[in-house]
Amino acid sequence: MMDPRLQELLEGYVENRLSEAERRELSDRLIASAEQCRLFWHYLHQHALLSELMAEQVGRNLARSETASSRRPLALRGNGPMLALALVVLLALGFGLLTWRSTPTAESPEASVVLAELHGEVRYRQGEEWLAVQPGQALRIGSEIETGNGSSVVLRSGESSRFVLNADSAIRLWDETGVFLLRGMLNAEVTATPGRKPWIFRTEQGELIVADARFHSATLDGETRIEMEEGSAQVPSGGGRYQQLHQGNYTLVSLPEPELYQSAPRLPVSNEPAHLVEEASGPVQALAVSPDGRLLAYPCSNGLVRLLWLQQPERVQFLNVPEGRPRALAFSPDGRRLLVGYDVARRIPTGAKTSYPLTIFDLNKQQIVQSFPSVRRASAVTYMPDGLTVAYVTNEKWQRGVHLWDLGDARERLRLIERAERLNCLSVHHAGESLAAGATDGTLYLADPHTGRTIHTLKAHQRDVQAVQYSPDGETIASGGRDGAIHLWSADTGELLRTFSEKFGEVRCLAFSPDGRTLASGHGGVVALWDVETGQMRTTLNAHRFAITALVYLPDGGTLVTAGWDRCIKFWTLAPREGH
Amino acid sequence: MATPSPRRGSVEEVQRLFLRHSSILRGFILGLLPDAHRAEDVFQEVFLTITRKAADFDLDSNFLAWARSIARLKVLEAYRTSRGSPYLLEPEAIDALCRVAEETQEDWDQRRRILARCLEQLAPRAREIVEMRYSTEQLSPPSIAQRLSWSVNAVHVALSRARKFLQECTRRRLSFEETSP
Repeated sequence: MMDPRLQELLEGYVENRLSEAERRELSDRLIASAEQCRLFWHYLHQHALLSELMAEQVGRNLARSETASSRRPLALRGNGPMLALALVVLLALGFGLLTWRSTPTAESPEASVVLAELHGEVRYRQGEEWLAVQPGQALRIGSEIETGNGSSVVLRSGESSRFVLNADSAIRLWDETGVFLLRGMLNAEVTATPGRKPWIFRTEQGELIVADARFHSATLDGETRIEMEEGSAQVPSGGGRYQQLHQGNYTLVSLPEPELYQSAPRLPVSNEPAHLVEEASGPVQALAVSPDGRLLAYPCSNGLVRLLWLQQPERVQFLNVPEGRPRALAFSPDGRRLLVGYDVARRIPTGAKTSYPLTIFDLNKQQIVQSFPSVRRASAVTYMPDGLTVAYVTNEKWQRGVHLWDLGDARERLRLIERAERLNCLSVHHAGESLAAGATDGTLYLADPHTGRTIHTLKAHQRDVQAVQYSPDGETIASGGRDGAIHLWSADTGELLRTFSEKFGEVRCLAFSPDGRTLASGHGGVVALWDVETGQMRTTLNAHRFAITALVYLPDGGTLVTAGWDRCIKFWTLAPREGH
Repeated sequence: MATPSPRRGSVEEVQRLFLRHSSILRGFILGLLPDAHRAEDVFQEVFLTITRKAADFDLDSNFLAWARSIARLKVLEAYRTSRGSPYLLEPEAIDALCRVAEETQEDWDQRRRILARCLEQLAPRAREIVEMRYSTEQLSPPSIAQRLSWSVNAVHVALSRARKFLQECTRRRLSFEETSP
């Protein structure tokens, strides 16, 4: 870690506002210590990389523009004629494609696509000319490809990414992992590049960030339609934020105001569940669904954690947790790990004597990969969106509050909302900008996970806050209390936006639908579904004989899963229903 | 036994090497001369010098060390020729930094990739300020302050926080990638 004084001196150094004495102080530190020199370079490398990254971004923005058909070198300053001459020499030596960018991507093999199958006339641009392409031909960054009426081409990148450019379509390769759809239609099956870089597809109207998925994109007359066929992707929604698109979703984006396609809200198709799982060991207290929607995890009363493969109902697995009482679960953002919070101190199966209230399982390796010795109980747990930090609530005396645990450093990074009443529930903003926690005295706390500062303290409910949930776009927070009320708050200002209109008794759990338009609440044995926009109830479900303990939407928005004290887990199929 | 004569570089070869290492060299110069415009001038002068001296370069030796030594001289020259502007660092400090730079082997691509991800995590306003400061406009803090109707000090504080966040985020991600099984 850098000491604050050195940080201060380096800040002054890069902004050229050091006094003479401070310059000497910095020089003396550097002369005296190689370690300070190393820290200097770490800091200054970031300064240089930021300039490069921003220059790259400007380059990408240029690539989005129709007028910028090729990259240009940065303007030369100072000693103009001499340097211009040098540039001419450089170009004459065959470096015409290279720019003053740091990475000469035009030379890297993955920077090109191969034209695998050609049907009819397919052309690519070389300078001002359009030339016919040949099967097997490789094209580099900056190339434009177009098909004519009735012609099409299959492009391959790497071993498994495949793009079909349909008739009367054109694309430009604008980066080693990017395609710009100029007009027409494109079908793509993409995999992440070896560095796990996702592909980025852009049009004048929309952008799609996608890896390991299939989709279809069409752009015509100032409008782009993006439809996911398999996998998931991100598209920008309003306010520069991104929303997740999953299989079966599609979105329309048009100029000048990006407009998302909205279907009718999804509601239960029947009063009977599509599927039911009975948990013999006892009530299920929590549910967690993996980001790809393939796995459902829940803690059992016998101390085990059960995994259900949702596409393979017969496949069930228990994680190897021989003792303790798991209470809270969260999948990592990449879905590869499961964080389990324990209600009572337990021992890890290696026989170590230390008690660990939090454990991370690697689902591929089927083993515990990390345990945290910090507190004795963790009652609510979640991963932060960076996947490197976990947040958990503990109500242990002297340690009460929300703890942020750094997985890289294996240490506690920050403690938030200390000295509050007992905390019941926790939710994190999708981009990690803030987190919310509800307390037993009815207070809702919003805190900044970067600084630890409590941003808002809201007197939200007359009794315990039992559930709190950020909306998928992160702009609002729903809170539910033992007083039976459900409130919607602005995540930014803490302002109360609306109170939902009817009461069904104590609110035990809340979940937003993936499109953010419906809020599901669990009260007693009843699930209520609310229109977030108006606060009106859409419908109810008599879901369980006893109180509902947890509910989650699957990521495709087509299924709601509920768990209750009646030892049942129920899967409710949802479908668009007009008039709600 | 006769010592084999060194393989001398051609203009084309040293320019290729320069382009390959341009990121590291630009970072090195920007470290010693944090004013982006002056650093870019020095960067281009280094390019001209290595082109001119291509025949002096032994292709079997360390190109980066050779280019850094030229860059160091060019930075000192820039210090000397900037009238009225004092040395940013003492020459001994520059020597110490050059020694450490020689010893440091950093995975520049990994850092760039990680930093790009960390940038995405910056709060929108912080990112906006970082963009103003580092994109092609390279606005100075007073210009940013004017544009946002903020005080200059507020901009300095915001920039400092953003850099600190990025530094911490990069460090943690690097540490995570190194320790992650």
